[in-house]
Amino acid sequence: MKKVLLSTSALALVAAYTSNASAAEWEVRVGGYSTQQIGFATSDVDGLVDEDFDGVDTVSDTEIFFLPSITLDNGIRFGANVQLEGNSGGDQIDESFVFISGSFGRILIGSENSAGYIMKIGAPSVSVNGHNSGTLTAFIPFSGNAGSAASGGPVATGDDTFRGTLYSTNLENRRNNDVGRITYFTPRLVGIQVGFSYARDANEDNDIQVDENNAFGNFIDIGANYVQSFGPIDVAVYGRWGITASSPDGLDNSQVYGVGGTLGFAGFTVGASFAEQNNAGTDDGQSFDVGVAYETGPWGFSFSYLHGSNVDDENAAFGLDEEVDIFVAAVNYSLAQGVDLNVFGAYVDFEEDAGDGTGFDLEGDFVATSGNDVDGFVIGTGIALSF
Amino acid sequence: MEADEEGDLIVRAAILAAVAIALAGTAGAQSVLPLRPLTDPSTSHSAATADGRPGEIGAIQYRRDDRAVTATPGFGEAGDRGVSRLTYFTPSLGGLHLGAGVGAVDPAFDNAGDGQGSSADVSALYAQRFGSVDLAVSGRVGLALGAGTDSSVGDLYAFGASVGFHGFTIGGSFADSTLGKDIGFTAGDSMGWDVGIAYNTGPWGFSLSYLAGERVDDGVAGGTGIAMGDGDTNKVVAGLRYRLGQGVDVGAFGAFVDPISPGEAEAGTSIGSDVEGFVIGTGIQVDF
Repeated sequence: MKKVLLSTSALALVAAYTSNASAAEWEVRVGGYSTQQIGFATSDVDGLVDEDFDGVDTVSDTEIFFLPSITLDNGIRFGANVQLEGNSGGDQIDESFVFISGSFGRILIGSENSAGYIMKIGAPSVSVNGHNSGTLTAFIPFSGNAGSAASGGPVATGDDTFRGTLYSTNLENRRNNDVGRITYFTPRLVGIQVGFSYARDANEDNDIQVDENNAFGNFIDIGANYVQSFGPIDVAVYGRWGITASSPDGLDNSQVYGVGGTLGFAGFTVGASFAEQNNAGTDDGQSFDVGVAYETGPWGFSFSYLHGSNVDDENAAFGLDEEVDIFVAAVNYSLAQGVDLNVFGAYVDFEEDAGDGTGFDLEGDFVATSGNDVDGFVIGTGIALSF
Repeated sequence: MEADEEGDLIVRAAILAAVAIALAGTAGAQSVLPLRPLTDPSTSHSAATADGRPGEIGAIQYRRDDRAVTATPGFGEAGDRGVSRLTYFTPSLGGLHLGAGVGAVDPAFDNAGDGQGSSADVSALYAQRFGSVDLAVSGRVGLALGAGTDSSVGDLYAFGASVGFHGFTIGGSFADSTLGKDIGFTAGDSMGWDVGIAYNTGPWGFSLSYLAGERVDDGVAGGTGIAMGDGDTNKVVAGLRYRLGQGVDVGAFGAFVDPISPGEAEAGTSIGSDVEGFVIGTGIQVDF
């Protein structure tokens, strides 16, 4: 991340502090990224008639990071990290936390993902729109409701794509995402680092004291990874486990697992990851991804695949599931530090056991409708700035 | 939500309202806490803040946060949350600062949706050092004028003072908010006062503070013209702070919250939803 000082207020702040006699000074940096994609997509959604999701569309994803920090005379570094979404949305500021780092490791306090999420390692990709936790749903409607009344819709398609197993191995237990939590990372010793997180509840951006009686709560997450080079070979592996230490009467604690790794040699990187959510109702599912990437000079190439399966929310009462297969191929060219040009192509195949309207008829017989399956393809270009 | 749980929240909101009002005293009790653990933005619909930061110039610096005085609609003063405003502060006149402002009605509380209504505030702060003694006194008056369908009046006043010497600071404040009195609204009326003492020496700071607050309980107010139940509370907070470096404070605090008197029966129940609690905590604050 490029160390860019804010041009006005930050400089003024630095100037104000430097007037005091102190070795330690605040540095207020601004960083972030901006990704803009232009793609042509075409999709078919079963259950709709004459639907039209085809055409050229754009997708924008931008975040601005505010990063104040100070290193005290004793070497301990304090700072904050506030991440502002560059496009309006429901979670305008997602991550927002204070960090403390030193020879003892690193402590995070505030709104941030868990250690298990942060330490995840999986299939490589150079695509501006990833096979795993990407924004393909913006081109191909396999998440949420798709279609309009004019097409006989909308119909319910995929669920739990964000932090869930249908489009990610980057899970959070019960999909809690950036909740208020405390995380500790050990120093990396002989390539090994371990992280621990605790969150009392799944609240993000509010401080309501949740009544944990008969509720899922007390989220504990543990992650570990090992990163090492053996001559020309780079190895990285990780594992994670998370659990709610409390749950409603009669229900098991929600748990999340994950493993993954990469192997790098002579510019090639191959990798894979697996993740699973259990005892979390409609969030339950499994996912895995595999991929290969090759980078030489400014060029990067990758081919990646993800398979996700998940409880079909609208038909969860009948024990029905849904699944998706996602293939992404990409070429990246780095024009300069933090300036990337990208071309990608992606294919998405979403299927569910049954569609909307599944249930019991007047005679009491179970009737399963055809799944509201989605097939889609997108080819696009993108520019990605990180600063 | 069960009625008792809802009542708990309402009483809690009343507690927080009182906290916020008392904290708003412009030269009130001192605290060294790096955090404000008792504020709760989730109660924004009925919790309170009234004006600016203790000890700052003037008193009309409305915080742009979620804590508004009341859910009673139509009052610029009442629900004021960073609405459009014109404010003037005088220069220091021998330690005396004066401020005055006028503002629009907050759309969130414009029940009639007619955009009519306004608010006005005046305030004064006197801060001066006499030898080794620091003295600060302030006061404010705010007025809300509804208009059109919401035609009504609310007012708010507050005053406070602090004295500092040899690292010690003692102070106190009082605030009172009355809403819609001419048409009989009572829900949201509130008052609070606090006292406290702090001691700062080098990087260390210690404080002990007490607040008493009272607020008409929305849960049993019964609407226009009917004042039935109040929520009241007291709370004690002890805190210490250690300054690790420039703009880096760590601290610890302990707080106890308790109703002053048993709550009155909530609507639909035969008991008051009283809340008492204890919290100890640590905090870190970075200022940059």
